[in-house]
Amino acid sequence: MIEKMKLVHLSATPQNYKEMLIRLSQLEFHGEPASALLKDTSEGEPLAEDPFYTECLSELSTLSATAGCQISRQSEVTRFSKEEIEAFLGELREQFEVVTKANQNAKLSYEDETALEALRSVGFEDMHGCQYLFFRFGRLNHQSFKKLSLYTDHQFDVCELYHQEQTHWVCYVTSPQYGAKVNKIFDDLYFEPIAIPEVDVKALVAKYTPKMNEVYTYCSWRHDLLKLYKYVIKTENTYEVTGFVSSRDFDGFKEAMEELSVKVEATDPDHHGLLPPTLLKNNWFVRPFEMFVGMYSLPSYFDFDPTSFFCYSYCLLFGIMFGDLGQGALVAIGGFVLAKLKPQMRIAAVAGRVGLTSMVFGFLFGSFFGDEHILIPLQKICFGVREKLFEVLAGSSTMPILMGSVLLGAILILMCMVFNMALRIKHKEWGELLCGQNGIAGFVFYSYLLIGIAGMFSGSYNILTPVWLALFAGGPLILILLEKPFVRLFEGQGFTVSNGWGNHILEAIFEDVVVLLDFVANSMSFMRVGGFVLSHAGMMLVVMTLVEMTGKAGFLVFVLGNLFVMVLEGLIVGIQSLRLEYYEMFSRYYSGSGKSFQQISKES
Amino acid sequence: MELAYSANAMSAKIMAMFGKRLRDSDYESLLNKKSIGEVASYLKSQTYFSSALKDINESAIHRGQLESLIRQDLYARFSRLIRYGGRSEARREFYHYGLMEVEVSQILSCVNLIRNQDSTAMIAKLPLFLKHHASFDLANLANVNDFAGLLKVLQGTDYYQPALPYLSQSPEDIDVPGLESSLRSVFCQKVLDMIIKKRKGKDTKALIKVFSTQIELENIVKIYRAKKYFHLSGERIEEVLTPVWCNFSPKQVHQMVYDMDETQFLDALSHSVYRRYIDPNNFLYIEVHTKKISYDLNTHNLIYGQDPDLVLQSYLSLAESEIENIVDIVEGIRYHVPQDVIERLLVR
Repeated sequence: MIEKMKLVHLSATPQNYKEMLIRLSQLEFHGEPASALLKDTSEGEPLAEDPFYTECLSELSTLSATAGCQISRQSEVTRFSKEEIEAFLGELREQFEVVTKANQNAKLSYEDETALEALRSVGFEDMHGCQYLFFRFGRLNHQSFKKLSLYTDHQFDVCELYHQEQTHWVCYVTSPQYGAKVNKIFDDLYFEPIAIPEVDVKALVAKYTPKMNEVYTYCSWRHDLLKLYKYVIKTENTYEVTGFVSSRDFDGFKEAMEELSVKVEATDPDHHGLLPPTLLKNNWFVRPFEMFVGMYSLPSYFDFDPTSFFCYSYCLLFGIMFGDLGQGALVAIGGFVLAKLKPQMRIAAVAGRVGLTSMVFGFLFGSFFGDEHILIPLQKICFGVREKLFEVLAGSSTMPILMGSVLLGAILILMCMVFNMALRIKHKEWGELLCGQNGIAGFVFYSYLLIGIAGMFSGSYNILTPVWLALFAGGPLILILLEKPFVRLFEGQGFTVSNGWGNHILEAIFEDVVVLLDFVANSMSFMRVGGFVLSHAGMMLVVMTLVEMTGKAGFLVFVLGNLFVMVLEGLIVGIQSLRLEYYEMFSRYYSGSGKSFQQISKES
Repeated sequence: MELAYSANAMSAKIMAMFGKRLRDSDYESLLNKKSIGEVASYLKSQTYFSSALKDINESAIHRGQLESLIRQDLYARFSRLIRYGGRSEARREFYHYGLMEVEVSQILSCVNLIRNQDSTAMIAKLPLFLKHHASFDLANLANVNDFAGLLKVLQGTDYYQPALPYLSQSPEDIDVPGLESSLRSVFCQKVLDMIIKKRKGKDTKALIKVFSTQIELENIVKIYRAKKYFHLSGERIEEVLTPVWCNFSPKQVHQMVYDMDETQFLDALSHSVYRRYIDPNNFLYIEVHTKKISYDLNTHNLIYGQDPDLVLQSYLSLAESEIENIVDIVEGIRYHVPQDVIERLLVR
């Protein structure tokens, strides 16, 4: 079914409209864009979006990436004025320019950074500032590092900061007096110098990160608000938002808004205003099939939800075509387990449900993983039959299966016509109700033909006589031919046609032929249901024959054969059932012109 | 039996290693490099030196470091190979000859630094990776300030007695060529003794020929350079030569040392057993020609030799030649020598 909605108008003051928007983003609220609501400027104007905070966010992200620091959104929002943010960003730009240059010059490896970390405690700025000491940092190979102990004249001191296999990261210190000599010694040892950074980037980052996080949080908050500005109409003194809330949630919604001193006006949606969004609400068994309805198109709020009918008819068709107790049980178990593990995988939930109907029909057909005899004792107990309840592959069963399929299809088509007529009555579309192909005329015509053909085959009665034909076939066909003039008549435009009667009658005669063909084709289309019953039994017969032929490898053939049939036929039957739903049934009653309920916080 | 097995194993291992040598295409690629970093990068990524150079920073490597690492790799290969050579003391002693050349070279470096009064410069060049295999503690050379100190380090080794006569001389007057000759004579005599006393058969002759030819070629280089660049007297030249010859009689040697100038000397060589390699009209550097002689001899022995020690010695010489080629390329790039000139220096 479709959830009932309330159309709400919210009015906030310049002081509290931001809080209202933030609160709205946390509630189940479908907003209507201001641009769709405003007809002229006298009603107000859309709220202009200020790009300042978006630009600040972008700059903060760039600066943090440059400096190699992580900024994140915090739970508490600290407010800043635009001037404060601008000043802070200016300071960051200036400070981080040094960082950018240092990073560009250094291009240090992970190992270099690790070694440098050990040197950080001394202070890079202090090392550069020393007047009587001279520091150098870099890499030495292992052989050279071992030779350092051979220098005993104490003209330098060296400290190992990090080592990895054949490389050592060291820092040596000497006085400017010995600088040239000691540098030569290290150069002879193939010392690879690495520049000691002029600024300690990490210390700088650590200093600025807390405030960067605060500013980032505030800008993000404002940025999120900006996304909601498109729903706001600004009038002289108020900020107004219009949207939909489900009737079930309305009381809580109203309470939350009134806490913020926001004025709430609620009305029931009607046909003349905005089209309310569609939010489907079904029981657990039917709910996964909302996916298929959504794939076709959501129903309009003022129509009815076809999901239940879709679900039961789909399960019925699938079950008949894929009737096997064992395979159905596997599909059901697999589907339910997968749906439990991955709830977002709704097709798994569908598989679980159709697996159940497969089991039911598998039991009725007496088929268990292709074995057509194993269930006979159980069928004897349950149904009191002498032999198998229904032998699918028996020659005498073929016609009943195919005719039964067509009969099932006819019943489903008639049900769709009834749904269509109910909708026409709901929408007061009397012309379509009376003369439509899927209205009373079509229903009478199709029912008459079915009953007539049934009487002819059974031989118990005959209503396919000229009088009956004129009355129940000719009459409805003439009505279908005159559908458009009748529609115009009921709309108050008189019993007329738009392009002249000659043209209309010519077109309508061709349309009547198409209608007749549609009825025949749609009914015959359901013959595939019977076809798949036979095909499933046939394929499993092949598998069981192969099992008998292969001797000891029979079990393997049995498993692989069942898997093959399950995958191949499961897929085909699933698709064919969907085809019957969409083409043979939906086309008769379902228009699907609804829009989905979109919670504003989840919009991009 | 042990030798038979090990001979097969060592020869097979050497052939496998030799198969990974640098090919002409590698030399072509190396010659096209524009910097030492590019050479190092190529050696690291495209040749069997990849494991030896895996930790280097190609963009900052010094040519000396590159040479040191690939020499270190050669010693590592040598150490791996001698494991296949059996466990007898005589064989282990024989394999020590590879190290003796390094030891002599380190002693001479130390003497040069004593003369220059700069002991710290020694440290950077010390091959400390050989520390546990050398006959004296190489690290002690770092603290030597005078010749007496050097003798103290060499005490108990085969080098002590040949070096002793040079003690009385002041640092500036130490006769380095004479000392070098004495030390190399010790080295040569020891190697030849080991071969002659402890081995027999036709491969022994080949091994003796390899070593004596090597020494003879060194003598030829010394004679030529002494005549061409230093204009030394015959007596002085004879003093710095190692008294080992295999293709020249004492009379011929005497004539070459005393009676010929460098042009006549080259002419004599061009009519000797080395005539295929030395042509006075197409002469480059004496070292290039002697290296080529050595290269061809060693290649022949490596391919056709039966004695594993002969194959080993040939492989080491060829590997040394390969390293010298790399060093020539690196030096050529460093000093912007034209590519075709560097190419002519390569022995392959």
